[in-house]
Amino acid sequence: MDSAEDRKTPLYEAHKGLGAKIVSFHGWLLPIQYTGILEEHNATRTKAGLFDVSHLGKLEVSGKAAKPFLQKIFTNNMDKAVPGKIAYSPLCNDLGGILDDAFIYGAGGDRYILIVNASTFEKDLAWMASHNSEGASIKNINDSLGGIAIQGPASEKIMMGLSNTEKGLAALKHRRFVETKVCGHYALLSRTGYTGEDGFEMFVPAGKSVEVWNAILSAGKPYGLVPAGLGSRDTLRLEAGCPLYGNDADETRTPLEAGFMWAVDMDKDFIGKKAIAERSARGAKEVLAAFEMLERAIPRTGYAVEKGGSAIGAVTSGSWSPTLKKNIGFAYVTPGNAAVGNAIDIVVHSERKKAVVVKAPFYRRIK
Amino acid sequence: MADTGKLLFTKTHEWLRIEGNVGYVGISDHAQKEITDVVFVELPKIGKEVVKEGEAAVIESVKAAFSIYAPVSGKIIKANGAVEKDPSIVNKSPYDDGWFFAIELKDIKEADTLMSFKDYEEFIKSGAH
Repeated sequence: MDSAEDRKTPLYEAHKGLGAKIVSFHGWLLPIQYTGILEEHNATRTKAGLFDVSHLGKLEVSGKAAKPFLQKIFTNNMDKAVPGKIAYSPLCNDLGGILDDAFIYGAGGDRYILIVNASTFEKDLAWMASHNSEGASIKNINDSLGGIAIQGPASEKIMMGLSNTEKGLAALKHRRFVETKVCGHYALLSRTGYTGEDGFEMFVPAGKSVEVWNAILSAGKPYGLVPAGLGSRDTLRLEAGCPLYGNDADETRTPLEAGFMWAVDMDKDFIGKKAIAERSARGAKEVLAAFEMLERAIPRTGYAVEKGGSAIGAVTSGSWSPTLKKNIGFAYVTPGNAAVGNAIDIVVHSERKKAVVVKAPFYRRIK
Repeated sequence: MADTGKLLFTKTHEWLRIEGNVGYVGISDHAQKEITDVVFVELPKIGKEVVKEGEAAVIESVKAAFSIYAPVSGKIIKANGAVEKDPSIVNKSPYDDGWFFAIELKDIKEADTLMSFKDYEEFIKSGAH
């Protein structure tokens, strides 16, 4: 399971100390669970969960050329990444294929911080370097920062005493961030997450990660905070309808197929625009659809999707949903079969099992 | 906790408890820990003939599906509906309440190739699984 190539996050020893089960994930050794996926999932939905997100790729793009460069490589409009705000955007190649999806933090003063997927980090870096005719400064800040996410309804209460943001944590709205201090150390702190719950993500100096992690764990104890692993991160994001790069989107799909057109600004120029426009005019071959099982069976990545005995696509994510107590998933299907309410079959262990296309997200928290 | 001394183990982590000409089947404590939270169990139908080392049931955790192989050949005479209803029993009580099905043994000698608990523990430690 562990390969010599695998890297340890700054929190690795802390996970071992907590009795975590460690797995290799895109070149990183990360906890899949501590006590149990279901327990950690439920704690995050009802109280709070603490996740190590140090594996996420971190880049700093700066200089006068930064904005024009980012405007060119990202599909979304970088006007949205004004200081204090975070823009979400696919990164596409010339054919409109999705290389990655990223969060772009507008840090002000021609400085942007990019948070990208661990699995695509090296590829992104190479792509950006080879498409930087603008001459923006691209800095790899991966090793200098550790990442911690606290997710769940108790997150704000737990973090209240640990961070000293100027206006208070309550003033930090969804998809906003501040460069502040947490437990006395620098933190890039945002109200973001990948679970469908309220919560925060913070990037702190690598050498201070354990101190911050332990401080949050102990502050959160009275509120029922538990450390949570990749297993629950995956079930939580799926319920919340968040696509996972590598599963639900990849280079063979354009934003049109993956359902990312809301993050594509066709009124500006960017790499892949022509291909996406052509694809839009022709129509997508397959689109990402959310579905739930009507028969008892768990859909898994790669399972065939059928309609009336004919193949119409394949499952890209699927799981038992601990919150909804049903089996759910994402699949690429022909556009004619993607309408909500359409009856489809998922082939599970060589047997057709009934499912129906539903509207994502599967789960939405009550605010 | 069941008396593991009465159990026989397969290399695929099932256990067999023989009572007369009937064998009860479940998975080891080691296996339930490796599989993590069991969320789905599909048992064979009563009357089904199973063969030694053939797939007899499917269990799924949050992460993946796993096949359960029959430790011996014979006819399925009982299925534990409780674990289909509440799969977490497999994690909580792998050697007792978490049994899957019972087989009417075709040939008790088939059990001779199975491991004792002690041998099974050595087998796990050896990392050969």
